[in-house]
Amino acid sequence: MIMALKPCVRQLGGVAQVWRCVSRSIAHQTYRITAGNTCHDINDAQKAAGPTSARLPRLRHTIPESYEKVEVSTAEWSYVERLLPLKSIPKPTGNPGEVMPSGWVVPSAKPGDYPYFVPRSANHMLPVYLLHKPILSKHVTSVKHVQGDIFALSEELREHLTQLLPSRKIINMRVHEPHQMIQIKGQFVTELKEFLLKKGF
Amino acid sequence: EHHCIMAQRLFYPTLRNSLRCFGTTPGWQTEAVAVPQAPSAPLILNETSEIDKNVAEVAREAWIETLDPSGENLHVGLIHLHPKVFATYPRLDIIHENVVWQQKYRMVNTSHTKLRSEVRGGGRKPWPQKGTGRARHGSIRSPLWKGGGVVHGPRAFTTQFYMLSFGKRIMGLTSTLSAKFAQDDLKIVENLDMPSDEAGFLEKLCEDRCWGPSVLFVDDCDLMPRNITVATDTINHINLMPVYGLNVYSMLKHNTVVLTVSASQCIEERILHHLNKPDYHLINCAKCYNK
Repeated sequence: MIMALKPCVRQLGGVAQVWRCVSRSIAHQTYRITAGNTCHDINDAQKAAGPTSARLPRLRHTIPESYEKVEVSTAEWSYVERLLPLKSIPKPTGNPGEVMPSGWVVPSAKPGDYPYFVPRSANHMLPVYLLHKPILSKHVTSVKHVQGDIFALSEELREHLTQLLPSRKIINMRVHEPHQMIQIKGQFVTELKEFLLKKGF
Repeated sequence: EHHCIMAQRLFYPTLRNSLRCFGTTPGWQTEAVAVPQAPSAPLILNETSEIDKNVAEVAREAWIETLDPSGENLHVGLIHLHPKVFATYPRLDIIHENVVWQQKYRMVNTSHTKLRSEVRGGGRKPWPQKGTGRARHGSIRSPLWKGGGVVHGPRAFTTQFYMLSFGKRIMGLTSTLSAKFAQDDLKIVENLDMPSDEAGFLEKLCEDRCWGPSVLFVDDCDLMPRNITVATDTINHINLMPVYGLNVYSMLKHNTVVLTVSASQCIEERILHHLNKPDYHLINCAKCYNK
């Protein structure tokens, strides 16, 4: 049964409009659905009522008999579990100093070995990063999370780089103690990573 | 003493607290484990071997105090605090960024200037295009004119809302907690149960222990015990806060921050979860917000 609201405009001596409910369907005919009725019966009844816009398909929700038997099994859970994403970064296995087939080296240095200590990042990688300003030649290599005597590490890095590049007269470095980082002007990521790995960090 | 050290994570919430909480704590923390206190065996919590030994930072130890001064000891036990949360090198610039963000994100600017269309007048061409010898103009309220509209001026109700990146917010919390702990302004308390509900009692307690004029009590449940709620109701500088309300500005605003044992465990668990999750690089991506 479809109900449509039609505005029934009546000027009752200047009073506001009156809205009247007008139904345009098989409202005058009612029928009862009994147990014996099927879809076809109802459709026929509707068709008999006359051409209306109320000929919507009737949905039939049926459950096939084969779905009624459900077996609960937990034997296959391991196949599901191995597909689920990890909740935390796994701890790497390996002896300190061991070189893995991928090239990753297990850290071997302990906090007391040197006056400084450079821990790995959360992803177990060396904290050496390359910053590139949007100008062709402006690169800055930074070593972060340096704990302890950061100036001692900066002197050792300067020595190491002057040895590697004897032609270079000046090595510009910034030792940022409050942020625990050393910044070097230029691209020295591989050199610094090799240096730190040799130390065991 | 050995069995206390080897015990993995002993929880010491009272049964009352665990029944009252509304799910701010994870499921494994609401077990009502009643630990009988033997006078000889001290209560030592969270001494785990999970903390990475290859880091310069060592786990910090803090006394577990009680708000009930009638007992024998002021200190009920000892708790180990994770170094990645309570012993980081505090980044002052990031603490500042957090404070500025907390103040600015809710600001709305009401300063307003009128456009040339909004300034009264200026609908008519002041003089003909040609013949007068003067410069050509279409309206007396154009931005070239004195008294004319402003082109790119402030417009009322401009929000200053922005979100600080997730990593900076986490680092702000860890830096502030570490700084507070290092400056002896962070206290751990077993629970917030007080014997009296008088405001004077609490003020005297804070004075006796040299807890600063303003104190922030943080518990992991948002329904606090009755006595402390009544006592702090009239005092404006002593405040209660659930763990999910912890923020850098409030921690700096109050002189002393007092955490309950369960609150400190909840904070540690949540911050470590975020620091160690594998998809950290996706935090600020649009993908996360569409989940």
